[in-house]
Amino acid sequence: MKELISRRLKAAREKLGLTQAQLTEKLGFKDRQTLAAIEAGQRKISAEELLRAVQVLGLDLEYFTDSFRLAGEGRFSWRAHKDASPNLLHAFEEKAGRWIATWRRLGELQGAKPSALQPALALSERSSFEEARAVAESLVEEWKLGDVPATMIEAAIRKLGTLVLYVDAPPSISGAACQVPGTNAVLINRKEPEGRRHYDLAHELFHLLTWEQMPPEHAETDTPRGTKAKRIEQLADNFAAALLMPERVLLLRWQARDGQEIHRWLNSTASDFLVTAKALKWRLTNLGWLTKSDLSKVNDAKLTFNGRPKDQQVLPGLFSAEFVKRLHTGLAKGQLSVRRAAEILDLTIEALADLFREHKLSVPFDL
Amino acid sequence: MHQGQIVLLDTNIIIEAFRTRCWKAITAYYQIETVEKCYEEALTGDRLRPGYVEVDRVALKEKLVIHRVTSIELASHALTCPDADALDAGERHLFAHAHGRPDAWIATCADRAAVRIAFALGWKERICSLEVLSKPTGAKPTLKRHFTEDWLSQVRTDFMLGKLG
Repeated sequence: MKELISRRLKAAREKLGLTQAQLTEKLGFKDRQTLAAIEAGQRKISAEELLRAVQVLGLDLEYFTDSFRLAGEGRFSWRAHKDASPNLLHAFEEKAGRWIATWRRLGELQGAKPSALQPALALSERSSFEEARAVAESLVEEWKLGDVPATMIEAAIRKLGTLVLYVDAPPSISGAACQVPGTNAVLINRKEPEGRRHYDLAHELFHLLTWEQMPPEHAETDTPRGTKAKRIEQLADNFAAALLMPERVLLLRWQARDGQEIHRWLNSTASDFLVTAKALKWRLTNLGWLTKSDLSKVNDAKLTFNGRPKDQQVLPGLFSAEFVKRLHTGLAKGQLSVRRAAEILDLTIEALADLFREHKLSVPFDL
Repeated sequence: MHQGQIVLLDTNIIIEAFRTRCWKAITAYYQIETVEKCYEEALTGDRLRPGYVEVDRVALKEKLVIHRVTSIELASHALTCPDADALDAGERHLFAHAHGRPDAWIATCADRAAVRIAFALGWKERICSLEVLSKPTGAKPTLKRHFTEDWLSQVRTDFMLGKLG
């Protein structure tokens, strides 16, 4: 707890742009060394001093004491409709931060060791779209994603130690990539159609693997503002398309088209690749297989497929099997209380019980 | 447990006492107390959910002593009990209040984390189950497993064996 408070006090001070001397004065400490010792974890803070910090920094007590919450840490990049307001994103980010912090905290308590390595792609803003696509094609081979990479991509992301969560988000939010010390996460709005979900997974993977070289915008829309943001999004889109529709497999399908009507072919092929028909159209265009003249004949309104036909699509379970399993262990071992778990997940206790049943686990409480 | 004994109840116990209709009996026998957060939590919930237990506000308040927990109590508790963040707001407030109340028994038996933290705070002798609580009152509620002495004793054993936390 001492370490948590020390770290968060320092983060809050720095966020407000205060020096140790300035905060010392506001907190009424006799000298700067007192604050320096608290921030370094060498001196305990008293309850009175903690409350004074709460007041002076304009934060709540839990900001300093709640390890099931992200405070002063974590970088998010939301994929959202341009109508999603900053308030909506902020409120949802608060919730998502709790889920990710809970995953991390329970992992610490259960002895899960995050990798010290942070995988990264050798790409930069100056990379060409061809290079982004080539890197994706290489990953398909390296990770053995097979002929329909959409079926394997989630598992591949998890192998990198990244948490994948399927969440019930407002309709204007598609998903997010999140970088937190010790835990990376991808959030996907589980109510999106299958093709869109796969595309989001691949797109967010790009951001996680290029975050340091190309930090994404906090909120990105389909029409990003600014040349730099636009460039990064285009690279991410090229990467995602190549990852989900590898040229080697796509070429065989394209050669076997045999005069089939273009809309019908795009819809059925997109269904097989579990992607959207529109994404497939752009993939063919970028590969130079659809000419401008071909493109002018394609009517987007007829590209209705978004993965498999709707009646064959399955809604992913809420959060994920690994997340719910860790939570299950946490409750069974008394690492967090049932009411606390329900509060963090924003569920009623009954809905929390349903969550365990949905993931084929016993309900670890009888309340 | 003698008549008139002060007992602090958490939200889970209040709701189960209403569900099994032993609330009146235990409040007649003991001096039942709680904190504002648990009182609020007991009155909230999704009425449309199956299994929702209606807690009658008037009956709840009638003989209940409700304490307001101060910021300084919460801050002190957070500093002395580093695991307090594993508890929800009601449980945390109740524990912060219980810190300064060596005269009171605590019924917070239905949750492993709450029991584990209470034991870690040295309150092993102060924790009781709703089953034990209701016995001398004459009420014979049919309780869910987490509210029974058997369940509490199992958690106690798990704690002693280091299986919790």
